Amino acid sequence: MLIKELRVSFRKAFNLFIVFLIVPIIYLVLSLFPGLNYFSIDGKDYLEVLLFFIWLITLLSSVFLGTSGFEYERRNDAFEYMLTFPFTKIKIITYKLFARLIILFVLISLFEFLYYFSSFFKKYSLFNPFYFPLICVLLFFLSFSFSLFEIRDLMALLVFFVYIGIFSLTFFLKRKGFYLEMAKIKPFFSSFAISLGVFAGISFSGLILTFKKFDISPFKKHLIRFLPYSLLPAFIGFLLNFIK
Amino acid sequence: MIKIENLSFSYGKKPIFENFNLEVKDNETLLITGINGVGKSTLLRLMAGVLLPDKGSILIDSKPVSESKKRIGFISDKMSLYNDMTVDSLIKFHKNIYGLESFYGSLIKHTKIKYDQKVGKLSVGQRAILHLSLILSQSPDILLIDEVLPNIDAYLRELFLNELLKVISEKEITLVLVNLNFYDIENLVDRVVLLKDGKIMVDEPIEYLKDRVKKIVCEKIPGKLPVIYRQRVGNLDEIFVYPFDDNKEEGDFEVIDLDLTEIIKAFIGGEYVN
Repeated sequence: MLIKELRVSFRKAFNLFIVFLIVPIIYLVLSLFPGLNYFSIDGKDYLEVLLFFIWLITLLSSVFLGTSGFEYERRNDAFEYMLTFPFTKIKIITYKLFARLIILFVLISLFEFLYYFSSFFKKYSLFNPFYFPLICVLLFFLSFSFSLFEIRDLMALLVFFVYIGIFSLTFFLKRKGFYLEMAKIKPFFSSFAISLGVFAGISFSGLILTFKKFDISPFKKHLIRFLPYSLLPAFIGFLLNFIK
Repeated sequence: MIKIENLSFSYGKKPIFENFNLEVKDNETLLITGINGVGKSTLLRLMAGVLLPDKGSILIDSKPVSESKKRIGFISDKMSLYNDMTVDSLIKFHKNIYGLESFYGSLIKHTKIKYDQKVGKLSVGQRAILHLSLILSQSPDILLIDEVLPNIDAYLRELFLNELLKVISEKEITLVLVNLNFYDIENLVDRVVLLKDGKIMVDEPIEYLKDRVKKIVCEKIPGKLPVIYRQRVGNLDEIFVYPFDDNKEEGDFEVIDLDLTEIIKAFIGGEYVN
């Protein structure tokens, strides 16, 4: 069971790796034409590109590894077959979580390793070596909780885009001078992490409870109702960026 | 022995069972039947540990279902299997999950199942045969089979049923079937449980039912008979009586013995009419 889950998780991360391999390839191709003046071909730059590439893969993997939790069973209509296995339901969830967390841990470790040697991205809080893994893990748990539902990809991607969207807006406003002080990223990150943490915590414990009974319909209604409130701390954090 | 005690289960706010009790003896073949939506498949899923009861307990030889899953083979009406896997990889996966060394492959030989074929590409009948082979590989003590037979073609259905008959005669297996078509399982069944509104309406050995459920054909319905269902055919009334007592009932009517299909039809028909 664990081997199957590891295989599924690895395949998921590997697919993302292949799809986004285009990022370093574009950089390499462009660096062959220094006349374009886009990039230098300094060895240090390659490291930064690699770091950005791993950052992107890790962030996306945290969402897609999460949503893949029960995707295979859902796609195959194999829930009942899985539930007859001679393990408890908690053990089934543990196997699934463990396999995915191993892959995520490898990606995060790679990110942390590259970050240590990086200089350029150290300026940006989006790459903060503490907040980024935290947000990835929270996104993973949230997405994993959604993997039982039909709307799992939509919900997980919504949270993912809220994260990217709010950060981009903060970054944009900062550049345009719409802030009162240097944009304080930390309040946003902390609040966003709290938001995700609350939501992931509730949805994950809900997942465990509903999975035990295998009746997800009442939980789904509560979860959708709860979503806007759970994102409230993130918006408060966002506003805090603009207060002196 | 399967012992269900004070079982309560609901889907959301819709109660299916409340304080439900049932015992299935070792090596017994039990048929669970009833009208659509009465909870037959739910009961089987609860016995298989796929669903968990809200209250009460389901024990297998005094142990909870969760501790006895290796002893249970369950085929649901959805015939849920990993469609993306090939037959060969599913067999390996199943052996791995249950720690098995061999696969019960004798049935597969008689079908057109190819080992490199995707499970999702198999016909319903082939899936049923594959699923039965998988669960027989784990040498279960209890077989729970939901309503899969009506969708299988005649050849594979006979193969499926003959194998079941062989297995229950050779090994000590408790078999619980959920079905609405009975003509081909009559020789398998020892006992019939008919569910109504989450409760047991009838729970009798099949021989007793055959002895006590009769069809009476008459022009005028005799009084005081325990009629469960009646229908008018031409000028005659056909009434289904339970329990029928040969010694007591006398009158100007013809008494006809019934097979299992007609017996169940009478009970279910009675539920719709009454």
